[in-house]
Amino acid sequence: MVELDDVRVTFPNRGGRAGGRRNRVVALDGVSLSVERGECVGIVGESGCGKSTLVRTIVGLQKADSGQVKIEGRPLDRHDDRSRKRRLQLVFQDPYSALNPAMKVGSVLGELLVVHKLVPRNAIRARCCELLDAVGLSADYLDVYPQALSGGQRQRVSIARALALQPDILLADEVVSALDVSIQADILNLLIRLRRELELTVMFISHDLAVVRQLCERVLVMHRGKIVESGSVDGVFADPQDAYTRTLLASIPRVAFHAGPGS
Amino acid sequence: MTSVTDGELQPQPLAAGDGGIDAAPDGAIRRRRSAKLIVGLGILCVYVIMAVLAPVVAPYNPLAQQIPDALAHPSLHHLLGTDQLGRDVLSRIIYGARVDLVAATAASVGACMVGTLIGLLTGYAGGWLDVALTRVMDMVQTIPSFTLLLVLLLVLGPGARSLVIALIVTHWVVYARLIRGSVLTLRSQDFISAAWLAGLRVPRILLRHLLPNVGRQAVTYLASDIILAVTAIASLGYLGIGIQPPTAEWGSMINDGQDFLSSNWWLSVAPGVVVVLLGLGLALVSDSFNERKDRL
Amino acid sequence: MPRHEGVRWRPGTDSQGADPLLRVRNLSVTLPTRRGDIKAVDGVSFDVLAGSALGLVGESGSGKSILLRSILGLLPGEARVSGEIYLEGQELNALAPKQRAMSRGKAISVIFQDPMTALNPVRRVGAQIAEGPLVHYSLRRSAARARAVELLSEVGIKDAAEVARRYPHELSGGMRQRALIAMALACDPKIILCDEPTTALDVTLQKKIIELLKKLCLDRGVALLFVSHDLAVISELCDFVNVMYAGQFVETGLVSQVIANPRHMYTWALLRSLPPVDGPRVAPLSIGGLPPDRLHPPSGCRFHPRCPVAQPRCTALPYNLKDVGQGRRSACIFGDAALPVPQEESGVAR
Repeated sequence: MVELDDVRVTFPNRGGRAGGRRNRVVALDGVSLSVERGECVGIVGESGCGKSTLVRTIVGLQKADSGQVKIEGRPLDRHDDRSRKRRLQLVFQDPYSALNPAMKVGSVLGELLVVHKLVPRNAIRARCCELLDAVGLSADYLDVYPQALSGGQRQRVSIARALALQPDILLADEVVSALDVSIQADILNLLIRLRRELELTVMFISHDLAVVRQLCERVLVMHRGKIVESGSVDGVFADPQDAYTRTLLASIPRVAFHAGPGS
Repeated sequence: MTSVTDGELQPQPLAAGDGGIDAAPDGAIRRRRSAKLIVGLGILCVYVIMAVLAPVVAPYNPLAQQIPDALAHPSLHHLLGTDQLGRDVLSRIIYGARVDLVAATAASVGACMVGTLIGLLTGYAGGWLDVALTRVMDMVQTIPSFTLLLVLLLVLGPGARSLVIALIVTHWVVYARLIRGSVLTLRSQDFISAAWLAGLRVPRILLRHLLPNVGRQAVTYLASDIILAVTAIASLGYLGIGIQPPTAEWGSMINDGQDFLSSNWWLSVAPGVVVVLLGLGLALVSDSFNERKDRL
Repeated sequence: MPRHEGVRWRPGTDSQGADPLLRVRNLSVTLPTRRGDIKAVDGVSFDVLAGSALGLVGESGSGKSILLRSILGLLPGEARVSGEIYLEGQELNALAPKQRAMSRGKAISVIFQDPMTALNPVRRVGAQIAEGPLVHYSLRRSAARARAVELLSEVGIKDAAEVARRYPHELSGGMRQRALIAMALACDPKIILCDEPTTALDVTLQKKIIELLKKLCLDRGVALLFVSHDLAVISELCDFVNVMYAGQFVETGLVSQVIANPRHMYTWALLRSLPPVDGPRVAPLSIGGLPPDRLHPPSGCRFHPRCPVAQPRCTALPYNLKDVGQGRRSACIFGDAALPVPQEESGVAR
């Protein structure tokens, strides 16, 4: 479904300390990957590893210097028409900038339905209610502005917006990183359920390996613009091959004892 | 006891997930804000009524000359006296609203629309379009605005319509820069990327997503711009360009009254006060509008 | 249950006799808002023993950051504080603002969350660290600078002298956080308050900072009051933990005991919502319901609307943080023994 072939992305080097050698920063250094239909793949790395650039390149917000990005077999074209754009949707990291403060939730969802002519006009509100229901929000939320919502609720609305276009592929860019741990659990469970019900292909980007472990079957570890390890989640956790992966795994704070039933 | 799911919207004054607690404006502050708005709107209403209902409200025809009654002091017949040609000052002020208010509002609103549109386009598009238009803005602003106005009026000829066009051409740049700045900031927000990713086209993104968020600044500036426009029209009237006599216009009235400052000082002062009060009304409204929106 | 090597306190050892370094009694903080007054902190009492690390865990809005700031005296002007805070026996709220300011930075210091904004961007790092000793100990400038360099190398920065001459934007995120820690140590504080200092950091960096804090705590004997929403981080770093919900403590005790054997349903739910790193891939538990309404909190136990085993009496019984043995306290009616947690729905949720 999603294929990257030796993609390279660089940025001009801005600021930083005097004496910087290169005048371009390499964000993606020859990244190749492929995601099959129905898979859930996690992409893990710390800040600066290039995962945000990777996401932006896949959706077309960033142009690659070289290499190819193919979505469902066809190369990505920034000037794709609407129907192509629908296949791939992205949920953003920051719940506080992901929603237009001047639009009510109902308008956000309704607009997409209208523009893409997905449902007849008189069915728009009903479909919006369905979308909110799918993400666990009641119909009352249609008439509120984003300012009245908490971070977790905003992320749900973002997910609903992404789902409104009935995409085949969902990219989740650090969608739980800005949330409290227990709200993270809510959103994670929501994604697990949605993936199952809608048969989505999911690419889940995160810096948190533990979270990726919950959701994904396969994981790619990124470091400094390269993919340093890839494999099944269980495999990578049990037997990490790359030194960086081992460091990453060792750094996860562990609770001394995971609470189970009873004492 | 099973818990209420997150899905049910409970009356929640505060979503604890935010941790956002803002200090409360107490009742006194809120009353002050409403007072501002009411007074400001009241003043503006008076002006609008003056303009709209001039034939009804004005006691005399503003153009009717009664030379024998020239330079009369304020009396029951002529509440503000008469000018040097015997025309009733009060009526001229009332009719003047039609000219000044309308022309100034048209010019400012026009400049606002033109400037906002250009600002949206150039801020969002970036690239060569942005560079080109910014240079244009620089050029227009480099020329002293009054000179530019004069030149334009020379070319377009005298009269209200040319005045409005000339004012639009000189005033749009400020709006464009304001809006462009806001758009540049907002452009990196995720919801704009989301709109693009969802297949929305540029006009819709500009008008439906960007404009509601940046437009407030333009509207705030509009209020003060109207006064600037009134001043410009009045100045031009004062200089004898712009609105031609015998049309009643506050600026030319101030000019005409100059010669009589020692004896009939109200001939200049009255229209001056009228201009100032209009500015006050606009400022009050735009201030309270600004404050109320801030609370969101 | 094995714990990290940092633990020095065990119940029944020499901790009994010592006077606590920091005593907080019945602290309440009320914040007026547009819609009414919110009791951000509602009658909390706790002690911090010298040289120990106490973790405060709770979610956004639970009041933990406000609690920290009230100890420092850094609340917004309209906040109303009641209760007593004793530092080394001296009541802080009774001090005049100037004396309070003197105690800040000297006996108490603080590490804030965001290393980007906590440092002054227009001053060199060394100068910022040196400022404290300069003011509080009236050192000569050169002595203060030398001390700054010493501190920078103590927190693990190589080429400390060179780094001290740099500006904050010239340092990496990790170095900035270390510089902040150096700044906090500058005046030899007895206790360092930490407001989520690792939340904004990458996980590898977080681990390094936690290790650093542990080492400093042991080497220097400085106490830590560590606020976080991440129970895992607290379990790695702290000896004791207080769990906070809706402005109140719901459970307190040794970290190892609280985590192995929670005595409040909220603690259990928090633990259960963490995605497990080892062991079977169980889906994390969502704590259902909404965060509590801070204007009109639920009656009785504030957690009862979201508690899977809530009883009718939970809505009526007043808040009571009682002793449940082994130096632990819990506000739950089930706190005396093992919690009656619901059966797990499934092993591997997939």
